[in-house]
Amino acid sequence: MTEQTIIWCVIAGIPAIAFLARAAERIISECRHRQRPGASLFEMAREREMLFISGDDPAKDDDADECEDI
Amino acid sequence: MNAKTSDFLADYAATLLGCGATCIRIEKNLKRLAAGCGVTAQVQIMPAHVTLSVSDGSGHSRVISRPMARGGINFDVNARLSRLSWAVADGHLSADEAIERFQAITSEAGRSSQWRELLLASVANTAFCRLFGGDPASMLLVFAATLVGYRIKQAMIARGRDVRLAFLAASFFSASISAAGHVFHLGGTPEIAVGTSVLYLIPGVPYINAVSDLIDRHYLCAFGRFTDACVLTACLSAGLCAGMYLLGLYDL
Repeated sequence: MTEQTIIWCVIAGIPAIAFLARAAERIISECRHRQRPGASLFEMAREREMLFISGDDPAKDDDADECEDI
Repeated sequence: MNAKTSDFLADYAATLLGCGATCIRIEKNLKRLAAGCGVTAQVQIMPAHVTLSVSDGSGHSRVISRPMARGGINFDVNARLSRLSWAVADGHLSADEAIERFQAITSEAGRSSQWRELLLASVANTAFCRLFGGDPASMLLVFAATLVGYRIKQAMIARGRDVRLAFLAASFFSASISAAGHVFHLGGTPEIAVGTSVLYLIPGVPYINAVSDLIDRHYLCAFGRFTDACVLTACLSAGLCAGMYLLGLYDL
């Protein structure tokens, strides 16, 4: 590669890298905004929500009765 | 003296000055609009400011000064504001309706599609290359160079950078990219590609407006616009020369 070619590649590469960086920045910021607000990696849930089997009757949910021991 | 009307007239004049209207157009539009709003207005136009003296004929007057609205040359806004002044003068719009229409025009002006402008400017500059005898390879290079340079100019101006620096950077990158014809021996007219790659930056409207203002004896504005255009041309030339120098194109 001649010196002229190297200089041309450097000059042409600067706006190309700048445009790619800005496009990547825009994509990343859009992905961050699309996440549901309040989404967290760990959260507490009721046993029923973790171990639901289709056909279970929600009215007979034992977890709903908090006065069972009284 | 209705302050709302006089503020509207001042904003109108400042917006017209900012979108590339000549001084005679600003004067005539303003007088027409003021007459339609039931007041008289005298305008003093400076290269970067307008000062209005608005009077209602009963001895009350108000002097307002506004800086030139920054928005770039926009002939669509220019034409729409002129039509607005005619609509008011012909009695189709009241003063309040004119103010609402003016606010709608100025708010819509900022939302013009920058991508459409970018594409059309690139196609136009490619046509210039063809006009000066460029072959298809040179036309393609000019298209790519204009795309990059115009985008750089848009991005820099949008971020508030000095317009002179934006012109310098845009012309440097456009000239350098179009020099690929010389570097990689593409096409038969590489010098035309380099020469026409920066034509989209030439400030034609400020030059024409300067001559128009000179003819209408607005010498201060004429000199101001002419100087501004010369400075932008110098920045454009500096970018072109820098690109050619770095790539060793001395004998072009």
